[in-house]
Amino acid sequence: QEEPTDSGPTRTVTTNPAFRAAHLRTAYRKPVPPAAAAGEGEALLAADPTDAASGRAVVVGPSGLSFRLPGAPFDFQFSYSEAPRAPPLAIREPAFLPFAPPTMPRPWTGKAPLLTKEEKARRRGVRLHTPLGQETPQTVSAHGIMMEVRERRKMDLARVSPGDGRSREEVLGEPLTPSEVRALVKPHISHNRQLNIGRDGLTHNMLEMIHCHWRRQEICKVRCRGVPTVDMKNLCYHLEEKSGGKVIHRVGGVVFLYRGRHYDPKTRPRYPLMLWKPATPVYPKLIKEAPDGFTKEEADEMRRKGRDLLPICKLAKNGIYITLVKDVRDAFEGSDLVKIDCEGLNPSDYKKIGAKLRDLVPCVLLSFDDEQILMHRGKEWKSRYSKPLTLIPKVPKNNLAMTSVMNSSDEVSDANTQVAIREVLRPKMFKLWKSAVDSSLALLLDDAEANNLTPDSLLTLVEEFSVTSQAVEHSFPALLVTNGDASTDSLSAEYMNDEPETSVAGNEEGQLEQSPDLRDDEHFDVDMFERLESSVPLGSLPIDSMIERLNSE
Amino acid sequence: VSSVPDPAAGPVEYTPWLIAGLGNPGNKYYGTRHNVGFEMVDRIAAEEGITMNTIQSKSLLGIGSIGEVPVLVVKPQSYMNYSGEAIGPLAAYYQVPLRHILLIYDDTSLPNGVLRLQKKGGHGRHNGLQNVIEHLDGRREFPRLSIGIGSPPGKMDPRAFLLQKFSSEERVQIDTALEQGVDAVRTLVLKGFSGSTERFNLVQKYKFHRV
Repeated sequence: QEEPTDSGPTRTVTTNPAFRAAHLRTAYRKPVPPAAAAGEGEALLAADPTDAASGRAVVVGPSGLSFRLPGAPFDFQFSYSEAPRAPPLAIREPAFLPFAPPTMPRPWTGKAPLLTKEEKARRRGVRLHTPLGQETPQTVSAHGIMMEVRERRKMDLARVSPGDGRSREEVLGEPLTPSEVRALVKPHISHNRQLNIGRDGLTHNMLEMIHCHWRRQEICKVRCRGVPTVDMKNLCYHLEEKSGGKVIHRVGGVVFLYRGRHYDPKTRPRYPLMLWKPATPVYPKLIKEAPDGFTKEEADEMRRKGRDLLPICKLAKNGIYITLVKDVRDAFEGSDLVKIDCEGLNPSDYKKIGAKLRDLVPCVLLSFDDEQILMHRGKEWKSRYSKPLTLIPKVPKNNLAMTSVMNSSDEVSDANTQVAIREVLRPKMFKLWKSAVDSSLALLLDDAEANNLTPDSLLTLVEEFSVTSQAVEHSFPALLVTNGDASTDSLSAEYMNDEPETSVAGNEEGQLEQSPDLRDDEHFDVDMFERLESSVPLGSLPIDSMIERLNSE
Repeated sequence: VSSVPDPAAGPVEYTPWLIAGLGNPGNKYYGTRHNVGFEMVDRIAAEEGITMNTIQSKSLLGIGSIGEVPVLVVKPQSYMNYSGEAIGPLAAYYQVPLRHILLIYDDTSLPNGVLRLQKKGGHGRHNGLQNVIEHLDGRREFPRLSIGIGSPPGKMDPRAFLLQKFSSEERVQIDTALEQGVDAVRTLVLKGFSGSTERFNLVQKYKFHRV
């Protein structure tokens, strides 16, 4: 299927095609062979016959544009994680391999990278001492004797080596234990010695950068922003597959990539760097006049309705969109149209996001107008719930509750007759409430008062009452001690022990004196009585003798 | 399950719920955004036939029941920033466990009229909630129903926004939200937190995002 392109013969002429570089607005457009456009097979396009003979080719297939080199473990692509799922329709550039000269029939018009500090020192190349056991080299220069001169290391840009032949499992070794993972990840969490991934996703040259990180440290921290964070699972998969490492930890858009227990930087796989960004091929349109399943009129109607729909969220430029897919799915539960506000994003960004949502949610894209993505949930959408949401409607009150409330509000004094009914309904709380009212810890308003209560009058009431109730809360029955010191000591110690309960205790004691009929109620704060009885036998306190005397009088 | 009968106590006795709405007392603050908790509590009390006729520990309260479950409906009358002084002692006195204290408050991080039921959470810069948490020994694991009031427009002072009254269209949204809130609270008290609570939150979150 190889077909020599027309750029081949013209290369030798002085007007080199490199200086007629293709750009985004170029008119160059060459349809790919029909088999590749249909997504069934792949077409090999070779830059020139020698390339074709040695197995170097540009491949156009269902995964987009990729580059095949002899000896490479996989086809190289500009971006591994962000390639659209659809097969391209046409290419916008003559078939070039974007790698270094041996495979690239195009002169390099780029600029060499700046030298690092070490490289500068190396180029200067003066070593002022000789290592032990070595003879001093005799090099003479204009500045005197130069002991050693080293060149900048030649980088073989075109080298392709798939590594040392070990499989990925062998390099990784046995899986890390959680404690090992923690120890490895900890020093890298707050450092920004990292690889940044943006809207292009995992590009080919990033593989080289990952291996550079792995020369010095076992973990490569990868920070992702923007489009690829919509589908982090896909990104992690490609990171693991292409680099041969393992993702050991991921928090939001930050991925920690481990190089493996038996990783050797000397025998690592080497791939040629891409010196140009290959032009993106032409892909089919995302927005169709009549999306699948709908007629044009239906789609237009939905677009019109979507104009005054509230967007569910506003995406930030280069933000982290991890929850976006879930949010859109949630929103589809309530409405069949969903809009996302993408104000300020690059148009290519929100188109990429839309394409990802179409595959992941899934949904039907309707428009990208006004920097907003409008989607419909599609005809074969199914709710994730089997039944519609039902809240418990208002239940008719049973009579017991009503009577007890009524009773409690207007006649408290002879509540004893109704005790049995209340026992069933809410014994404990009602008893507590009643005791609060009795011991003037709480103020009971009568019906008329409760009905025409304005916020201001309520406030004054509360303020007045808080003063009186404070007095009640903080006053205790006096203890006159005549019998012995031991009992009072224990009692006061008890009070000291449980500070927060003192107010309650005081009230209960007052309760005990006011209404002796409550004493036989075993539900009523039994522990309180037990505590009192444990220290002093009932009736032996001085207050009891006083009560007896008063009663007899 | 939320309201399981306590096996130690009597035959049929449900653990009571304390339903407290936060707000500021007095006519000055009546009907403001910050007082939306009071409105919700009033609505619940009216629907369930609970008369709020008792004053105890700086708050107006009423006891009653939703279905079989006893509830204590509370409107603290100490000012918002001291709501905990009213609610803390009440919860202690009526022996309400932490998981049965339902706090109803306004939330600026939600759009106007959107409700959210949560099992636990932080204070979200709400002074009333901060104070309640302080008085509950720093425990944040109590259920809460937050009512969205939207965020202040432009550079408006958030305090001024909170103490404003609702605009007429916002009032309509809030009224429908309060109606839905009563049903949600009833469901919560009778059934506890379940899948339907999450679904309620979801429906509420996207209730304005429809054509």
